[in-house]
Amino acid sequence: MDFSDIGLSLVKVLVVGITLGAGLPALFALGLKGLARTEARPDGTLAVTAGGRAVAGLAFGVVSLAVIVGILWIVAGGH
Amino acid sequence: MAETLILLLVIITALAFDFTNGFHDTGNAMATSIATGALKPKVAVTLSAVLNLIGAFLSVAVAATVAKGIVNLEGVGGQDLLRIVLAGLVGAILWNVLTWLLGIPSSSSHALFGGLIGAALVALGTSGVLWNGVVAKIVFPALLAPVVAGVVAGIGSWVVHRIVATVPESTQEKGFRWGQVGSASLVSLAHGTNDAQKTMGVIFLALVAHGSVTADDTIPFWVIAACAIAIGLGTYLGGWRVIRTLGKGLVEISPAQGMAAETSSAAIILTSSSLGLPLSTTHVATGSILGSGVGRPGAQVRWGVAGRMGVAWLVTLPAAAAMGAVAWGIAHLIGGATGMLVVFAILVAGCFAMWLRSRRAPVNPDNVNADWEEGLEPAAQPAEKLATVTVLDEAPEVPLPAEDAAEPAPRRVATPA
Repeated sequence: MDFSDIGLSLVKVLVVGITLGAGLPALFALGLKGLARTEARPDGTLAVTAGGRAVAGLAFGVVSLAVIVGILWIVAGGH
Repeated sequence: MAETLILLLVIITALAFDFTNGFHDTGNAMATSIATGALKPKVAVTLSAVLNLIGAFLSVAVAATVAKGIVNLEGVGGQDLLRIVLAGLVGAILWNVLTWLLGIPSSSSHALFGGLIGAALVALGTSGVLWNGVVAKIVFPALLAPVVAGVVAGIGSWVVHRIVATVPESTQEKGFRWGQVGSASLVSLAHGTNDAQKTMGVIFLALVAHGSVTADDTIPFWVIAACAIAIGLGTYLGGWRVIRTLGKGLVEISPAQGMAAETSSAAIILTSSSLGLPLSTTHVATGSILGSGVGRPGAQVRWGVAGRMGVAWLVTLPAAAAMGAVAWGIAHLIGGATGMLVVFAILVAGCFAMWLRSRRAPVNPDNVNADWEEGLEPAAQPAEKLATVTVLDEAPEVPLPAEDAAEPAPRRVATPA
């Protein structure tokens, strides 16, 4: 491995790092924001709106999937 | 007989290194979760230890080539090779324990390579070290890893804080607890997979030198199991001093920030090792925590602590190399199994002395999260015990005016964590 290879690898790490390393937390945060969308029920209690639940479900689903793929990646020795 | 004794000594030393590797790096994964209270300190180190143990069994892909491209050991074999390996390990362990004592998260891989480079250099001359490999595989990645990790974690932390700014505190707390535990677990697993292999490689090298296995054999299962257990036990011990620096010293960590930092670390460690770019887990984790602080609006980063850490990173390789070289010199001068036993005894004595020094002001699960104003070694004693000590220290001999004696000024004020 010479320096140009290392430079290229670093760019790749930076791109993937920003996509997953910053993207997944952002997605997770969006999920939490979904859970914070509440409305008052007829009985006066607060509940998460249907839309909020959908956003949260989607966001947490994608994050969980990414984590599972990450674990499989480690297990498969792909690192 | 002597050959077997030497081999045994090298294996024990290698496992000891693996053990230091474990406790030195617990903080990389768990410091943020401990600092934010997402996990109780003991729970955090237990979880990390189990994941490191499991991780160590998952892959041996790079174990056999651990030192390839950095030191050139092809011309040596037998006892000469074992002496180089032992000296390298001794240099690495001493540096690891010293940096732990100082609470500095330095790279265990750099310490290991440094020790081996130093020993190979004095044993074989400059041809024993592959300088291009050292620059390309160690120096260059070390300079860039914290920067890359810092940028990624900084962006992540900034975005996350922006998104959740309006989310109620309680929802954030509950959510980010899961996020932190999940991301920190990934880092622990990746750490076990990556780092335990280095020790397996070293033991394998020793076994080949001894003639117990040939270079083409697979790594014996007992080597894998022993390394997994050693790194797991080390992780479970928890390097509280390093955890404290990472979790409290660099920057005050919010739950969202902790998750951003650990996700960044996990993503970068996994991506870089899949590309064969050997970024140090420690450098990545530290860069991530620092970056997540820079990215969080209003966070105060202690650049002094970061600077001290940076200096330690620059010094790690040469310092471990110097210790490895000296260890080799001593073993060589005395010669044979005796020489190696003496070096081993020096290692034990050195580690014991540093451990004793750490007992003077221990950092443990009870005070690991104490306010950083108190420095690395916070007063651990409960308030009333400290008060007794203060009285004993100052009351008997110093004749004070009555009004002052009523309120002796304690030298340190204990704030129970």
